[in-house]
Amino acid sequence: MRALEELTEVSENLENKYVSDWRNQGKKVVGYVCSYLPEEILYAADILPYRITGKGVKDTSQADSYLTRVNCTFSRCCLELGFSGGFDFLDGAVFINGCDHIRRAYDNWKAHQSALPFMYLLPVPHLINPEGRQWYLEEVVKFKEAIEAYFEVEVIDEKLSEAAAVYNETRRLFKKLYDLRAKDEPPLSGTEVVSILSAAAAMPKKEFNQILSELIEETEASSSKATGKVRLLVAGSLMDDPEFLRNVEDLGAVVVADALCFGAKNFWDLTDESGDVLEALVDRYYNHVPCPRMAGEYSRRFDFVKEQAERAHVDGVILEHIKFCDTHGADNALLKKDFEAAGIPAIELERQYGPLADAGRLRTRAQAFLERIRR
Amino acid sequence: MIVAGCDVGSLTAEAVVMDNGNILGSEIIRVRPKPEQSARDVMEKLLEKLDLVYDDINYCVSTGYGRETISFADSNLSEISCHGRGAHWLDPSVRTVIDVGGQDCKAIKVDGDGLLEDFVMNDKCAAGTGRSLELMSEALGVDVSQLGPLSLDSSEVITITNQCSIFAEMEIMHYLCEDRNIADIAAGINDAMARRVKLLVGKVGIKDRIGITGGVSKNIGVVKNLEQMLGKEFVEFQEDPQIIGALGAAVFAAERVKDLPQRQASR
Amino acid sequence: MGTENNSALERIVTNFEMASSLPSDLDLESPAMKAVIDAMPEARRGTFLAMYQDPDVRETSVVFNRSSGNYWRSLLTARDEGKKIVFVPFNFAPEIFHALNMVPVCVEVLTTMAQNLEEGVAEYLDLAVERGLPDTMCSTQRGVIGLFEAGILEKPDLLINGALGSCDPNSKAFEYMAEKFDIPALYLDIPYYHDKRALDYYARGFKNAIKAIEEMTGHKLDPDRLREVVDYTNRATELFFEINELKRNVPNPVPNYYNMQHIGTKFMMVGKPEAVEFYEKALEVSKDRLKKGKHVLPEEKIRVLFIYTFFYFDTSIYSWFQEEMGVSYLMDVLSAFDFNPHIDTSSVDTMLYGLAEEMFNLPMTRQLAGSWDMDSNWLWDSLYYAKTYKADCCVFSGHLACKQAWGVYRLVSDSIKKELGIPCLRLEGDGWDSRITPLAVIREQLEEFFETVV
Repeated sequence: MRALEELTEVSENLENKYVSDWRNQGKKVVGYVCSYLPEEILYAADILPYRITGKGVKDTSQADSYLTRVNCTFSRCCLELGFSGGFDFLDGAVFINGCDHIRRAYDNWKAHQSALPFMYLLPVPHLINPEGRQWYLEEVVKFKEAIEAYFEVEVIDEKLSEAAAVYNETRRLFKKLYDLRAKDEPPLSGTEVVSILSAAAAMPKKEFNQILSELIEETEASSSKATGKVRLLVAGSLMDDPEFLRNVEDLGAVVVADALCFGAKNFWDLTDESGDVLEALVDRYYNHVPCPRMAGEYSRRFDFVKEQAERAHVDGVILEHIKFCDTHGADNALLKKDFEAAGIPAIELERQYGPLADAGRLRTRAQAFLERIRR
Repeated sequence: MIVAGCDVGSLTAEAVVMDNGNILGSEIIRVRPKPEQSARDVMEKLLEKLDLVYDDINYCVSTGYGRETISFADSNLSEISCHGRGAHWLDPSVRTVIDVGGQDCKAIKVDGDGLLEDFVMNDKCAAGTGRSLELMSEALGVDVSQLGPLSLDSSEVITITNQCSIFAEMEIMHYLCEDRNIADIAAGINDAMARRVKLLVGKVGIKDRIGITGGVSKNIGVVKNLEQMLGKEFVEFQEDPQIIGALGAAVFAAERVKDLPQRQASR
Repeated sequence: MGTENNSALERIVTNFEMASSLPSDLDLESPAMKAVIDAMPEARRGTFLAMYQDPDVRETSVVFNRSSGNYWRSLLTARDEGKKIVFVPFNFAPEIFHALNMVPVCVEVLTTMAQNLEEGVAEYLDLAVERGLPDTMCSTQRGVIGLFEAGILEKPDLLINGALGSCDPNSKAFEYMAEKFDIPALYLDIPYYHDKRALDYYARGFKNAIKAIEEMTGHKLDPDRLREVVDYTNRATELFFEINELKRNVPNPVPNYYNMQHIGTKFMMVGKPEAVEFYEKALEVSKDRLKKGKHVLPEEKIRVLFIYTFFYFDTSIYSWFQEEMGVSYLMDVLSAFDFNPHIDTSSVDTMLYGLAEEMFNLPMTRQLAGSWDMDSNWLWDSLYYAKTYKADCCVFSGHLACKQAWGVYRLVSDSIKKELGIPCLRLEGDGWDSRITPLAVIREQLEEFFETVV
């Protein structure tokens, strides 16, 4: 499993070797948050899009003096890394007004001495309708122009089309990988998949696609199959750190599907490669499986999670949310009710991201949930 | 066939030994710094009482917060499953179990076989746990075991409004300074506790009949308040409700030992 | 609305009617009144005395409570009169519904009103959580969700949320209500920016929402009625601008409690003659106080600006400031309305655009959507109000659910200190749930802060 090892290694280092190689070629790296950022624009500008993470943070004391204990631990961990120079290898950062927590992380970082030379927020409407789509288009164009102006590059359609093709390839490969997970004998654990997803967000997609293809071949041939385990789907707040799932899977479960913004929600929808590429990208990102920040889209979200659960014939659904994440917290309460009504056991797990994670209590609840399913 | 269950919680550790569907004995101790030590101490104390040795135990299931670190256990199960199972074993009519332990509070729903159907467990906050009851009784200056009996003498419950344990303590001090009746304050503490527990129970939804386990189940005041709030009476267990987690573990152990026909008599 | 005896609304209305039937020459010292006051639960007593103890405040309270009583009463008969009921958040101006002949209910005001239920609001806050809502969600919608869960609040015909982008818990609470209780819902998006392009976008959304309301409810917008409503709005705006002018005086003659009633009026009654009547009374009282040299007692020692909102479970702090502490409560930034537009009534289009502009400047939408240091955002407004009204200090009544405010409080308060040299106190608690931080603790912290300021 060489490919898996390689991707795991990428996911474990903030400035991984692909980032270093990229920079050594004199090229730029820009951090971003959220699945509403059309990464292809950066990619087409020959800038490496790098998804901002809070992994590896040991304490958040600097961030806590700006963001507070009522702000989610993910945003605090990201800010801590920003404040403490963990992202100094980035040439800029692009945020989305994804939720109250992350937009405030942006505000605090931008105002801080550790701010990167290029700080940008691309505002996305909270409603899916024609006016919102037009607004988003205008914002994407503004963003593209800001990138062009600051980095002195030109993002031409031809490059955008290339980027769109590369990114679509990533999405198709991920679907293939998820098909393997959905099988009766899933060849990969959910923990491993989180690492793969996290690597995908931190390295050039062309190289990533190559490794992911290898990995798919390797896993198809591999003989280590997880059987006799409780099959789970995980949905909810952002997850790029494998610890949470490791805790759950250690108890005798295997996560075979997800509805996460680092996972299926991020790659399920493809960009239409036939027409105007910028318009197509805008459509793709604006209409992709909606985050709970999008109002009035609950039924679409429920349908998506249910579809994923059914494809992978799961035994149960874990609905996790990071404490204080109200967008996912409120959604999960509805999802819990609707999944139980559909006869699929579901559990809501409130958790912390990073150093405050309370593994003991989490394990008790996860274990009891597995015992409930196995009875 | 002799089996055992061992429950190591945050405040106390319990052990139960069963033989062919009968309880041979049980033991409760305060926890030691390490779960493994608590488990050994409580088990050895019980074995001594029963005149048994470790090797006599054919299967042991551990449960509770320290369940994963107990080396003499053959397997472990969550205390959620064990409390449900133990309560149901004692009274097969039980479908909902409320377990209020030292650091957490759980509402557990079981099926006709005593197996887990659904559950909720409180978050990290101490409010609504045995710990908060201890803090409040300290503020009141009485032993936590006296809160229940004391509250029965109350003529007018003083509502403790604050949810946070720290503010609740301040509130209690304030009432003490005002020279309010100590029984009325005790009743207020129990009432506040019951409210917190009820909030959790509501999340899982009540199915009759209901049992209450864990240390707080010994507080008659909280129990009576909860019964009133839920509009239901709790079943009466023939055993100390505090040992029910360990008992459930032993019941599971009895079942699991049957699945191990060729078990080596290694111990 | 409801006809059953346990209808929460009916009980809220009855409470208000009782309060509003009290005459302005009430003798609080009479044995009968004393008995009534003694029998009240502590928080209610605090609020009652805040409204009725001071004779000047009592005059505005009588008008305010009478109008509010009528307003809530109209809710009970709305359905019989063929009027649809719509629930909105506090950053959705009520006028358009008056013009549509519908009855709007501000969810946050309703939770505040529910504080006066005999049993209080706490059990409903808990019930919402018991039935699934995360307890980190905001209590100000949780109260109403709890009333729904308890089955003592009839469902409205429609929910409309206009807080998207300014407050996640608020918008999620509306979506939650829509999904859980199966109520039709509409949403209005707020842009991240606060410029002409953003306002145009927002106004388009507003106009589309009105079309959707018409389709969903069968109610039609009547241009004449709209003009009448907007005229009342403009009149109310002129009046509260004039009251705000008076606040610039040192000492400030406007009673502290006016701020509380101002919010209630603005969120429920603007666009109606009752609002005009209230502001006229408040202006009259304030002018009279200025003439007579009346101010907070014993003398104005401190002028405080609340840069966020306030605590609503017990409003006695206003009168404590007023009658004992010598603290003039200038306003709270999130419910001050100095940027309310004068609405052009020349056409339906201009009126709708004007209403959209009004909403665009309502609390939270204006200060908490977007970035903290943008023009017309939180810092900008805090500095404006502090300078304009000569504040000596600021207070942030940190409502724990308000993560987006907490997230930049430090930046805002540091900048206020740097720009104006005035300190800011950070409180922590829940505006609608007295069980989180008790009033006594809040008072202590305020007292200590004021001592260091003076």
